[in-house]
Amino acid sequence: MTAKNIRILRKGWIILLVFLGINMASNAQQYHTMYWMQGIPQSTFANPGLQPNPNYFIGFPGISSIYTGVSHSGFAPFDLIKKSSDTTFYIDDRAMLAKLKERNYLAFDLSVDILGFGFRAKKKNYFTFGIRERVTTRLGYSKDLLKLAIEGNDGFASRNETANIDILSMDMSHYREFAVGFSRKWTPKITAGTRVKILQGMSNVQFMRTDIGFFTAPDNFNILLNADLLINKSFPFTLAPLENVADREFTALTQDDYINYLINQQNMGVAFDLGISYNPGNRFTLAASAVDLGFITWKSDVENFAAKGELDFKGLDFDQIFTSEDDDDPFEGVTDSIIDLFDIQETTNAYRTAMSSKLFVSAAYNLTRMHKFAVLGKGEIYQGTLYPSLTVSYNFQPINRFGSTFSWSMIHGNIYNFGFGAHVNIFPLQIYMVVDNFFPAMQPHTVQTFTFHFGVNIAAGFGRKKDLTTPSFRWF
Amino acid sequence: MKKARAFQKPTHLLIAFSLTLVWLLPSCDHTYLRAIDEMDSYTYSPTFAIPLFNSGLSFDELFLLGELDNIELDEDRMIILSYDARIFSMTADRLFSLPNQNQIINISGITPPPSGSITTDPQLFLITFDQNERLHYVLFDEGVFNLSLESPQMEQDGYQVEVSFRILNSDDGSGQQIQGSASLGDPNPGQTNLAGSSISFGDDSPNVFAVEYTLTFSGNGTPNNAPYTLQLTNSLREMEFDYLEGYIDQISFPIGSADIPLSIFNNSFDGSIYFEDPNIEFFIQNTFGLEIDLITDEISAILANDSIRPITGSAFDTPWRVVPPPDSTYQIINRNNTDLFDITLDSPRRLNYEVSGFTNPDGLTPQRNWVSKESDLAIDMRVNLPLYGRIDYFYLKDTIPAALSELPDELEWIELTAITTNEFPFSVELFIELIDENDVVLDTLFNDQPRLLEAGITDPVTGITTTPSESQTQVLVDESIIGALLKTDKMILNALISTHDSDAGSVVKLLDNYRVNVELKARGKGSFTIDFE
Repeated sequence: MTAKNIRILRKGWIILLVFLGINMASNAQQYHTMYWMQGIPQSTFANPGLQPNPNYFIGFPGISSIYTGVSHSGFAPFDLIKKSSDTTFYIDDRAMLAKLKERNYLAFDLSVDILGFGFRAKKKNYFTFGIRERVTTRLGYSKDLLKLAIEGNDGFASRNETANIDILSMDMSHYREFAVGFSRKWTPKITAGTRVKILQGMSNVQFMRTDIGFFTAPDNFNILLNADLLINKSFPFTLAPLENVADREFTALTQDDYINYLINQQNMGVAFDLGISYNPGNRFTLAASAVDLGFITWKSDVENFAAKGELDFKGLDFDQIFTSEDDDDPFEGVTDSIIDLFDIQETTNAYRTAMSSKLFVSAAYNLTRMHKFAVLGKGEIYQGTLYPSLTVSYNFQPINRFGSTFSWSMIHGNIYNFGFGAHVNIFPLQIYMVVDNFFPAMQPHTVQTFTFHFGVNIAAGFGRKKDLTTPSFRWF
Repeated sequence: MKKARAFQKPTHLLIAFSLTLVWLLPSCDHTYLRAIDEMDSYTYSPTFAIPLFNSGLSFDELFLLGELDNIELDEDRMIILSYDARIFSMTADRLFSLPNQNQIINISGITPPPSGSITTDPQLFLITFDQNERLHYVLFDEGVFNLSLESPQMEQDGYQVEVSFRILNSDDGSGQQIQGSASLGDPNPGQTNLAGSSISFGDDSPNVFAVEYTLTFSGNGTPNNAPYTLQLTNSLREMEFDYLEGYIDQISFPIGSADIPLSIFNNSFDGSIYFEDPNIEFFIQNTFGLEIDLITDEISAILANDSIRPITGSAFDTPWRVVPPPDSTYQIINRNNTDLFDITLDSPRRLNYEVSGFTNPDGLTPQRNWVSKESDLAIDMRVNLPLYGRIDYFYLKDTIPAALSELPDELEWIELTAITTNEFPFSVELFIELIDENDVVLDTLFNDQPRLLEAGITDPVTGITTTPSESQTQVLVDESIIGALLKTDKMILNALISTHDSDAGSVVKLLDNYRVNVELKARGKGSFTIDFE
């Protein structure tokens, strides 16, 4: 490979990595701590039915909302690394396996608001507008996959179980969101709203179907491997034919290529956020929301790779040994069969990806106008599996121009999630920062989820709220 | 409500959260991060279960006979192991040849006319042999008839003489008699090529043919010394026949001796195989037009300890008469006419023979011999071991090189399980000795294990398997054995074989369609250390 080709390839990988890096946002946004921080306009991302406290806001372009998050549903570092003494550690892969759920995923997310603003109209209505760059990455894997790799297939054979590798997946999307939100205080007790989002997809990789089963018969150890795969991709590199993709020389990307990538309008989609809050007139407020209900249809630079087959390996035939020459590999027939099994069919059909939807249900109790306690239940659906989490938070807002929240969450069964958020308004300039888990700073081995949300807005128009859902009056 | 009002005082809450922070801060623990840096290695210990083999084996594959032996089948598809060898081949030129001949004829009392010629009476030419060969007809493939003249007086008196000849009862291949000429005083003899020519000798006068000479005079000679004598020197040289008839006498010739290996017994260490009907066939192809007797001086079996056991019996009481074409000659020795059956019990490694031939064993008969240049005598021998019999206890031992030093030392243990379904009517016990380069036995595999193969159950009348037998053998190759395998230089395979119900004297047949199905599966635990440094 020449130096030029290496440079070209490197450019290609760089754009792919940028795409992945940018992608660390969006669908898996957590909002555990921010949900009730109505002093921050971006809190409406989790529930458009909860109106923010400022009567209007304008986000600073590019920095009004920067979110990044990592989440692993499988295990925390201390599930894998164990202490045998104060100074001696070892890797306990079996303990890690015991911690895994049947289905697990690793998520990297990033979102950046390009533009955002909103305002209250006629006291009851609130409008928001925004343009966000969102990227999401999910790596899904089953417990059986790691179990097979770490323990081997002997345990499966003795238990007469199939090792299910069916959620082995890598889903990545980079898209842009054009959102218009509206909420209204329909009655003195009920506020409800929605956000309509037009989605402009730029690139995607989707493991749409990865049904892989690996069965070892308990009596004779015959191995039955069946696979039904469908992988879609939409990004400006042609991968087909796959057999020589590693040796392919990719052409250099031009400036126009980058521009065309960013303004690509062939992959369009739509999504909705719905939210409602109910205040019966006492200190309680109930809220519920569903966000990212939608899809994107991918049409540009689409390639689909499908494979389906079954391999039943019962052992080598003696003929393969007796008839093979010295240089022949007797396992060649087996490897050929596996290659045949993955005889990949390549097509270019458009496909659709669903947003990873989230459901929030929450109840808040306003102890006083300054102090609010809340419980938040969140459920996220990925590949047909609901991943629930629970958050308890304490919101302290002595004045409209300052608010803070402390939270504790149980996410993926991990209880070591302590969050903190705060916003400060210096005249109209608002700076906010929210982390869903600062505990890793003290005990990094406990981390499974970490998010960081930061932004700068111009937000003003506080002070007219009297209701208990928006305490914002005074220090004491 | 009183409590609620108390919480309205922020100091209480601030104190509560400050205490929380105080509680959290001491819990700082970054040892895990350092541990990741300091961790040396990770040992990965999976246990895998895989099917290694699942295959049916025929007799040929089971005993790795390969190219060494031929397998013949009888009408019941019973296997007959055959060992073929051409033990002798003799062509015509090795059996009989025509020797060079010379004959001088003196013609005396010649008074030459001034010109013209004189024709002699036919002169007889006798072909002589060392023995009692009698030649009645010969067609030459090659040969030369030479004629040279000598008469010093005639040359001195100035005569020029040319002598032409013709052989009576001959044919030069074109319907003419064989003829030629020579000149007096010519230093080179007159030569006539005999290729393609033939001479018929008289029925009552074998080996004799007649030649007629014509003398033609010329020149200006004066008969000062007449009458003259002319010497005719005749010779037959470099004769090779294409075909001849006559009698080639009684010729004794050795057929030689050689070994025929019997590979099935190569690795036999102890015990016996009872073949019900072992036999040796001789296929003798004779294209000489005469009878030949084959005299077996000795056919013997060489045993494992190199001792010799002659095969004896009535089959060798009289020589084997080899008849002339168009008939062919076939001889067989078996348990009826020899002690071959007893000898196979000793698992002979090879057979040896010493045989000689003898032509015209009945001497001169009215029937002429004939021989063509393509005639030959070919003797082929086939040792047949029909696999019909009994094995009480047969111990095979074989040493195979096995450099296993590249065996992955990450293996902790391997459990091998063989499940066999056997149609062959014999059982096999196997154990393997692991030998290092100093010939020290390091360990033994499959020791004290049940039979690797259990014999198929046979019909007592036909000896044919009616029900296959299943057996399972399991061996655990633990760390100590793996350690031995790593040092193994060679392996000695020891197999004990016996046929079904051999204790009761039952005989069994091995059919070509028998199979043994072997499922060999393995469980193994590895221990792979990933070094982080």
